[in-house]
Amino acid sequence: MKTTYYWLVFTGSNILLLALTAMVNDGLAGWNIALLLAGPCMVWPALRLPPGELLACVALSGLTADAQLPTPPGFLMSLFAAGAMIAIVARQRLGPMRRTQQIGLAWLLNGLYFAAFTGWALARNHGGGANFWEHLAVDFCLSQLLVIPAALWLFDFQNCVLALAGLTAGPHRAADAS
Amino acid sequence: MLVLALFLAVWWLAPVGVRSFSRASFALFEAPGLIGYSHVKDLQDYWSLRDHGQNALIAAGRDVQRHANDDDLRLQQAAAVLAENERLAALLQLPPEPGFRYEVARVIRRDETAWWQQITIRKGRHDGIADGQGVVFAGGVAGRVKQADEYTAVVELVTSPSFRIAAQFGPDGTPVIFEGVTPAPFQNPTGEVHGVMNLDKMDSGQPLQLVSSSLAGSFPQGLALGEVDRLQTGSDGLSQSGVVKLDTRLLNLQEVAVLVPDGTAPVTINPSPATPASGK
Repeated sequence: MKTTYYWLVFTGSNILLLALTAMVNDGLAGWNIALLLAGPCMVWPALRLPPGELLACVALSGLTADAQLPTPPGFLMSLFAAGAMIAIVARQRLGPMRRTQQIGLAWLLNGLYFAAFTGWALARNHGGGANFWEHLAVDFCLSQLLVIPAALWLFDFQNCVLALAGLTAGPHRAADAS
Repeated sequence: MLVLALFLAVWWLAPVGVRSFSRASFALFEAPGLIGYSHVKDLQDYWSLRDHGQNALIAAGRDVQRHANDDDLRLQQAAAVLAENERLAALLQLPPEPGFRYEVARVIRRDETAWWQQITIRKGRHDGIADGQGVVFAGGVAGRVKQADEYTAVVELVTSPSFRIAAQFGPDGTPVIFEGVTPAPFQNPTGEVHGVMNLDKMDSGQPLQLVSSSLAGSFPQGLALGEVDRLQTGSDGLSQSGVVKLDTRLLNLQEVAVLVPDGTAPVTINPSPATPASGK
C-alpha cells in the first residue's frame, strides 16, 4: 500500500490542538477551571486514514499528550485508539458522515474521554469531595460547549493544510471529508 | 480496528520499563517546545514592562527599595536567631538539621483540573531536581516534585488531594496531618488539617498559622501552609479537624523554588537564570 503524508498532517494538527488547549488551561488556572478538548482529534484520522497510518497517528498523538499527564503512560493513547474504533464503527453504521455528524461524534468522544479521566481519578482516590464534583461539573459543561467550535476549527485547519499540501483528494475514504 | 486492538494489547502487555521509557523519551522530545514557549512568554512580559512609563518605573523602584530595606532587617534578625539556635543546639548536642539549596525555577505550565493539580517548571534532573523534593514559593509550601525529567519537572501542588504532609501549629511541635483539597471553581484554594489533639487550640479566637514540620522530610520546619479559623471534633471524638485557607497566590504561580537536599550546608539561593524583571 502506498504511504501518504496525511497522517503527518493529522498528527501535527492534533498536537497543535492539544498544545493550544494546554495554553488556554494555563490561563484559566487562576479561576480553577480547565478544559478538555481532545474529542475532535481522532475523528478525521479514523475516517480517512488506512490502518497503518491511523495507528501511527494514534500512537504519536497519544504518546505526545501522555508525556505531560500524570496518568499511566499510554492512557490517552488508549483513549484515542478507542475513539478511533468508535468512529470507524459509526462510519460503518451511518455510511459517509456529514459535517454535523462528525462534530456530534467529536462531542460524544470528548464526553467519553472526560468520563475515562474521571474514572481514573476516582480509582486513584484523587476525587470524591464536594469541590471535586463542582469543579468537574463546571469543567465538563465548558468543555462540551467549547469542543464544538474547537472541532469546527480543527476540521477547517486540517482541510486548509491538506489543500496547501496538495492532498485534497484523500487517500482512503475521501467521501467523509465533505 | 483489529490493528488498533492488537496494538493496544501489545502496549499494555509490554513491560512497565518500556512504557516508562517511551514516556520519558516523549517528555524529553517535548521539553524544547515547552521551554521555548516559556521564554516567549518571558519576552512578552519583558516587552509589556518596557511599555511602562518612567513614573511607573520610579514608583516600582521605590517599592523595591523599601522591600529590600525590610528584607535586610529581616536577614539580620534571622542571622541572630540562627546563631542563637546553633548555640543552643550545640549546648544540647543535637544532631544538625539537613540543609537545603533553593533551586529557583520559572513555571512554564499550570494544569489545575478536577483530576489533578500540577505545574511544570523549567528545571529538571540536570539541575539536581529529583522526585519527592519539596517546592516552595513566596507564600510558603507550594507542593512536591512528582516527576523530574531531564530539563523540566512536574510539581504536584499543595491543593492536590493526594498531597499529604506532617505539619504543626506555629511553634507548637505537636504534629498534625495536612491534606490538599481540590479547589472549587472561582474560589480560593483550601486544604484540610486532621489529627489535632489539643482541644483548646482555638481559645484565643485568632486564626492559627499552620506551618510545615521537619517530620515531613522534604520540607524544613516552619514554612507557611495556611491559616485555620475553626476546628471541629472529628468522628472519633478524640481529634479535631478543620479547613486550611491557603495563599491565593497559589493560583497564579510564576516562579517557585525547589528544596534540593544539600547535606548540612546553610540555605543558599540559586536564582533562575532568565527572570526578565530582575536587574539592578
